Amino acid sequence: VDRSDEQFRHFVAARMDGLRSLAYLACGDWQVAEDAVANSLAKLYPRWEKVSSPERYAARMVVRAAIDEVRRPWRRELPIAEGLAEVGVPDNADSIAERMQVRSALAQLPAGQRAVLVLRFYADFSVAEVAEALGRSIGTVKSQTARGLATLRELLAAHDIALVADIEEGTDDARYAGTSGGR
Amino acid sequence: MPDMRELLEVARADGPPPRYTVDDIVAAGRRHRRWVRTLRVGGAAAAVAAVTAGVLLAGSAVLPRTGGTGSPGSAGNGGLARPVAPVAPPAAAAQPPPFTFMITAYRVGAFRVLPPQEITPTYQRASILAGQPTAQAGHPTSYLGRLTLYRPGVRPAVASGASLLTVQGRPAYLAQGTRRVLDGVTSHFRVMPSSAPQTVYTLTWQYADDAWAVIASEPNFANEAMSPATEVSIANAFHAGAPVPARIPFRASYLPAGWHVSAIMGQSFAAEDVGSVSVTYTRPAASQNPPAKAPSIVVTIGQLDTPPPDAPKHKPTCSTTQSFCSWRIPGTGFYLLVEDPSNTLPTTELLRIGQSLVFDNLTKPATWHPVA
Repeated sequence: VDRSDEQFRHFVAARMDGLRSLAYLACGDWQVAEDAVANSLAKLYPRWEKVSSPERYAARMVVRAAIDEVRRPWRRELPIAEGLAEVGVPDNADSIAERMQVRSALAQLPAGQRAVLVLRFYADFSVAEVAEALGRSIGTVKSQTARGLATLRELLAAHDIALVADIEEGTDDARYAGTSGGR
Repeated sequence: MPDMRELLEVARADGPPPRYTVDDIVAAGRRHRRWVRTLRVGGAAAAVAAVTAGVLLAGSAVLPRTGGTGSPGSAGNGGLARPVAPVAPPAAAAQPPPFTFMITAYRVGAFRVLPPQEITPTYQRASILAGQPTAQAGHPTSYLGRLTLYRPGVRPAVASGASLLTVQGRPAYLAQGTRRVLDGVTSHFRVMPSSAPQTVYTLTWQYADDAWAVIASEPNFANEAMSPATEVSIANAFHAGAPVPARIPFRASYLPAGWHVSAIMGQSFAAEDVGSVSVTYTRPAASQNPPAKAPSIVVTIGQLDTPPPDAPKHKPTCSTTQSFCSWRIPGTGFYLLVEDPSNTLPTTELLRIGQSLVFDNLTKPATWHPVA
């Protein structure tokens, strides 16, 4: 096993779980997320020695792959298997309910806004890095962040879940300029 | 009161155990690297087929062979075996022009083979669905697998233990594999329980002299895999249709000398199974030296989310570290992405290629033109 191979193996071992979560948050489907991560890392392997910042590179690939997957109509129309019970654990029902409410709120965001929020607040990308990762302008990223946060606040408020009020995301879009300070 | 990070941590908690191991990923990476190298040294067609069959999922590796019998090839590793049975050498089938679709949409009972969306010099591929084109509540559409039609002379590998059958009077091989679908949450945010290991079948059959096709089942959350009988019935109903040239929605006024189209994905933005169009360009092998440095150019057009009013309309965003440029296509609801997956071409070149594109009416595939 050469050194490069070993480095890649260590990278995968250390980062795969985080990338799975990132992909899942971007697409809302664990299986899609798994496939997005696996395929992205497989594509990263032959480029391993050329990539200066593999964490950022992998995160960009994974989020884009996850978004592409859920935009395919056949993915969106997967059967829901009516009648199947949702998985639950009796002694922490509250946290499960909260989790499902948060997931539901995230699922209602447009894929683009969800991707921006996940990269900004979960992967800790800067606005410029998100813009580069998603091929959008900085202004678009700011606007989508503000819109996504505003929508998420509204959706979560219906379940008595409130986001902290000090998330600072500027926007050049006058329609959303007042939404970043919480409500 | 959670902050955004905490909220996302809540949402991602309790994920299922990983389906892939580090070894799986590394093995898939090695397969992908072999594909890239094969692509660069001239085996483009075979390699494209191999990687798009699924990096990690059990699928048929494509090993074009010269001469030999009419049976499919072996994939050449421990899990795949020799041809199941010898078949008399047939005459060579007529070669359709490159990038010409021969699959036409058809229906077998509840199953639909969609119009093909993907084509390379080696193969073309169509999705197999169950359900109606317009899914109704309680009667959703299900993606079940795909039909891959290989060009005459290209022989897909067959897994060990495959059974010899007959389809339309010609040899066919039915191989069995297993795949487990673990806990997950669908895009509708319904939690799905783990499945027991599922049996999936891959049917490889000879559809013409020295020409092979494969139906591969891909199980989904609802554990809906095609049965052997279904795959055989779909294969029995297959007939090569009238040749239809693959179309692309733009012309490139500028491309570096010697580059040519090597793969197309997507023939409409309204297709049931593919929502974007990608065209991959590569160079002839002779000009690639050393192979490991050879780039490719992938031009992708996709539909935009509704942009905010402040978004710059057409200003390109380029990454010099990741070799891509992207911008909104003027007057449309689409974006353009030009990238070099090998990270070797300068973004100035990608930008020049992208800006040289002259687009057809993106929403009217009838206006698109065949590959030159």
